[in-house]
Amino acid sequence: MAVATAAAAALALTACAGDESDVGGDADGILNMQIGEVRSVIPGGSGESEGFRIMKNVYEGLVYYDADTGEANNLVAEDISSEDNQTWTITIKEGLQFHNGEPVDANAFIRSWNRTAYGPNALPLNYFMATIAGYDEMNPEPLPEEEWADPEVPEFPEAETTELSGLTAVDDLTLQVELSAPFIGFPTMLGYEAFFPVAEECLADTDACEEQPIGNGPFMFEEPYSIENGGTAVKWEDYQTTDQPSIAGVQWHVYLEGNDCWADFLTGDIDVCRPTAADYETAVNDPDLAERRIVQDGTSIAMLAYPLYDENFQDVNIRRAISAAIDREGVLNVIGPDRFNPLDSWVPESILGGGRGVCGEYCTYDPDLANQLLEDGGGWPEGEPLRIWVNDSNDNLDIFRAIGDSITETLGIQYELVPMEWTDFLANREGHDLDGPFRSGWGPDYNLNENYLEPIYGGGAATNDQGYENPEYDAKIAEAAAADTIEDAVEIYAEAEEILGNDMPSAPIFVEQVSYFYSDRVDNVIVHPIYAGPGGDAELRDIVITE
Amino acid sequence: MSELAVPKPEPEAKQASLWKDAFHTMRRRPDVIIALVILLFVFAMAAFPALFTDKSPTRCIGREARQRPDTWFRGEHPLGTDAFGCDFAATIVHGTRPTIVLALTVIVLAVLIGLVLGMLAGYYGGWLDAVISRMLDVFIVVPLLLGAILLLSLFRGRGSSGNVIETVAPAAIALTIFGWMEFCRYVRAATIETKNLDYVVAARCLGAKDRRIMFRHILPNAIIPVTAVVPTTIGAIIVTESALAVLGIGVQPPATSWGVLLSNGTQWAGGGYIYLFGLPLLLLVLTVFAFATFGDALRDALDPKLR
Amino acid sequence: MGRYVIRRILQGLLTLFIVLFLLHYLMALSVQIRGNPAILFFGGERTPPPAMLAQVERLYGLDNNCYERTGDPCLVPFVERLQNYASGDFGTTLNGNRNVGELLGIYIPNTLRLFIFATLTLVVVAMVLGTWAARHRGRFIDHSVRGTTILIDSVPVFLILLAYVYMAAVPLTRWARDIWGTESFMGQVFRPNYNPDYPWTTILVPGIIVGTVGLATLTRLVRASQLENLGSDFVRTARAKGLGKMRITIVHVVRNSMIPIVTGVGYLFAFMLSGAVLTEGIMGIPGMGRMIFQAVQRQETNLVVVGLTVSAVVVVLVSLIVDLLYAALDPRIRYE
Repeated sequence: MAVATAAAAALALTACAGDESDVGGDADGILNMQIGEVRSVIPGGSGESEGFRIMKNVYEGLVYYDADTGEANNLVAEDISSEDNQTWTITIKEGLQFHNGEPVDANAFIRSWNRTAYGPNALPLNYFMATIAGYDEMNPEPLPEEEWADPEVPEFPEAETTELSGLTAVDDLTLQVELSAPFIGFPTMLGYEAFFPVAEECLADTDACEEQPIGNGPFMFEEPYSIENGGTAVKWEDYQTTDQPSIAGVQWHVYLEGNDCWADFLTGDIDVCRPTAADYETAVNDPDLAERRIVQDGTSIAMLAYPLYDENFQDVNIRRAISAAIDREGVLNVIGPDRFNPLDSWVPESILGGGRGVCGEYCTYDPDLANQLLEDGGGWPEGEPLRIWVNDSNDNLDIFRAIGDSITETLGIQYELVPMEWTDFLANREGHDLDGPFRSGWGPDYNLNENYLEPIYGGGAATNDQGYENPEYDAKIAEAAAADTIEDAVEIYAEAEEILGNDMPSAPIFVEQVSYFYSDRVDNVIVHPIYAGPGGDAELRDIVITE
Repeated sequence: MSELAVPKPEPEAKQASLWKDAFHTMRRRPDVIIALVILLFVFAMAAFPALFTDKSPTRCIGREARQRPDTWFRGEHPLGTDAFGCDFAATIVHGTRPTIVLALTVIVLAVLIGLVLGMLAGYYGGWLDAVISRMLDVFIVVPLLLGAILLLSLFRGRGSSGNVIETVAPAAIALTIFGWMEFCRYVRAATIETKNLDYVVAARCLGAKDRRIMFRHILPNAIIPVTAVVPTTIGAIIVTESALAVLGIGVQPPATSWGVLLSNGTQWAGGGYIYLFGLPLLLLVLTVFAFATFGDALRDALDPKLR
Repeated sequence: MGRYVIRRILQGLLTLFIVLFLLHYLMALSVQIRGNPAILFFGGERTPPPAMLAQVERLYGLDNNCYERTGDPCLVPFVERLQNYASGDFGTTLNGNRNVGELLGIYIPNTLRLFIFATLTLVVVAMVLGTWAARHRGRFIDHSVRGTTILIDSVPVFLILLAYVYMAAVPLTRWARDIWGTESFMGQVFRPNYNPDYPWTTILVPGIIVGTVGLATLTRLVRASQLENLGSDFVRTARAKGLGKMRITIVHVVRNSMIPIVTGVGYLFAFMLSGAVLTEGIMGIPGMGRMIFQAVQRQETNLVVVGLTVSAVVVVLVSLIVDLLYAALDPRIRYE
């Protein structure tokens, strides 16, 4: 009775508030999508999956990735070509516009890339521009310490220029890009957020543009987007690069960190969603839901990397033993089957040139082999625990605890889990301060096996997290970048991956499996093979509302 | 939770009979007896886990994860296995000790700090009282859970080995720092009141030392309101520990506590593994309820006015 | 009275100043011990180039050298911080570069809504149960009310909420929508997550659940004070005058029992703030509790200090108001 009184009082309050009139997005072909916390909606400012999920629909870049193969196809670009992999000439389709009527021309791209490349803007995707000539002038090193006015405050020289010297607009629709070194994969990068164009009006008032972006894509915001409350983007009637999308618009519902959309999916408030670990089993066994499920290989991978600078990890057999001791299937059973697949290569299958199984038997659970390898490698120091270092976000702790349990069960080495906050973890990992294997995760920037090889294991022992260095490996990477065709390059990169297989600087564990469910009011749900949001995603250009 | 009414300290002559009366009243109440039985059971689990299970809580096999307890209380896994494939009965039993040790450590430290600061402030007054009162104000302004979150996140420990002290130390310190104020307030109030009673004034006139007055005359009075809230506060600490665990900053896995079990269990409860959530919850609620019932009765017994 | 109020306000300001300084010092210590949070700015799995990192540090005022000396209270940044706050500038966040003042504008109303529902639930339920128990003092009802409230208080509030979200919310919502339709009040009220389109409706259930925090304490207070009043002279007089039972209960007993309830609610307020951290986390409500927790986790120095200071201001204010109300409600109390 008492509760009823409280509820009645609350009813009265809601009636007064009068803000319930805003009907959700169910009517008129509006799709309900989940989204996480978005960092920015101006190209170059986000660098996380959720911002990109909005931007790829509101903006569009020179290329876009094929829904099946993930290969880069021209979108805004008419043609992209180069003689020497260093000077690239890009021509842009004629007559394209931003939502506000500004033309999408060479300058729209130059404007955007210069903003991202300019050091003092401190944009998260700044490093993407490092491949373009003139980047160093825009990102000066700090002045020597004796020149600081206040000895406590580091000072920077003024950036010499605000423009990348490598970019030239040959004419309105022709853009010439000079790279600092040859790179065959350059066109595959161009579909990423960092390389989207920006309108002049947007840069004139970036605060306004953060709320209501001015893009050139098939969807546009008529009202501001809010990071906490989401927003609705509707179909842009004047869109003409390719076909118009089928849906009338999309409402993004925000799920902040630690929350997920599954419960709202079950009540019909969200159209595409990934179940939480615990809900997989029920969802997969529900015959009605099972029909509306999308399963495909993902691109995010998890690895157990070894500190090659530590004396205990010098012998490759020790590294192989630990890898072979991990029961990847068992670990999957712990964290919820179907969320990942066991991984036996450093580049996953979904990526161009990946899935070659170079890790082989060492990435397969085999207790006898593991113990044999441990013995060959001289054994593990008696009584010393194996410390596994992880950053403590999401279910990393569960995953690596299960990995640790498996190692202990197989090899009899006691493990200790050291959870660290993300920034701490990064600092220690980079500073080579860890004394045991550590978590190493990777998601792609573009669809090329190089992206899983050079950034993680290249640069020499002092630079990469593992402290890995093999001159043969570095030579292969350089050789591939200057290859004649992309096909040749992929093969040479794959040879570099085989060198990793011999050296085992890390043990591949899982590759994510995309497993989303969609509601009965939508159809033609296509999930992008390279970039898919962690909580549920679909290509808005293709999805159809049937209801 | 905690109590607001400060029982009036009785003159010392009545001290002995007050405690005796309280004991007699409590002994006759059936709810107190039930509460005591529950507490005894829990303490036994904390002290002698081997009596309740012979499995190791750290032997976990991924392939055997989440086997439902179909053979209740019998068979290989009497209560099934948990999300990591460890024996669930063993995890629960071995998770009891950190929980109880944490709660008792915090309560002992908090009461000690509260008693010392409260008596100093109440007895000497003046600038000492001003400083301690300001400290009280400052700490009271930051709620217990928020304060603990702040300290635990900012100065997060690195991992946790098998040692129970190391396991609970960070949480214990954080909860103590933000948990002593209530006791301090009660003691200070009681001290001020007792200080001016005739027999205390008389003792001082007779030349009794400060320390003797504090221990002989003031402490026995000040301890009454504190005792009355201790059991309830222990319950509150257990609850807070589980909240910290759910937030991921309490006792760190693979070490277990009830909070850690609950936080793991909640994830799976929705997927149909209700026992992973229900059993630790039942244990926690029973224990907190037992402490609260006991505390409630104790307060009644020590403060006859409210009966 | 006037002098008392001024003294209390000054004390409150001093407390707030100390809290602010301690928070600043804690955050400085954390940066000194744990390392620089500017790296957060880059998110993801990347290593920022040192030049970029230094840029960001400068942008967020983390480049002062005091952050490298463990134990240094960083007084210069503290004074800067105070000056900025005084001029209404609460700074920006590292992650996403958002204006903290604007964030507060989004978060505070949500938490307020939660507290309105929670306080209403708490007061109404405690009043009803407490009155009921007092009327049946010593009998079965009295004992069962006490037992039940203690039991409810023993179940941690966030666990009730978790159980609700994981197990009850989805079936309830589906059931309600079948009967009343999706857009109706009933179709929204049981939803498992907060929804900004229905800011009041979807906060109702979590609000009611948070309102059970401290139920036993408050019920007990109500009961005790009513018992005191029931046995008092003025009630006996009223009875002697032949006033109706209902009238005596409402006018004489309940009204005079408001005093401890005001104190109790003020006191439980701090507990509710703690409850908000978990509730807002579980239900996905963008509120203060959630903000503070996330900020602490992400080492958003500025956000932590501002968030906890706001909470401190509220607690200080509430306790001040409670003390003043106390004086207003009880003619026997006079402050000197």
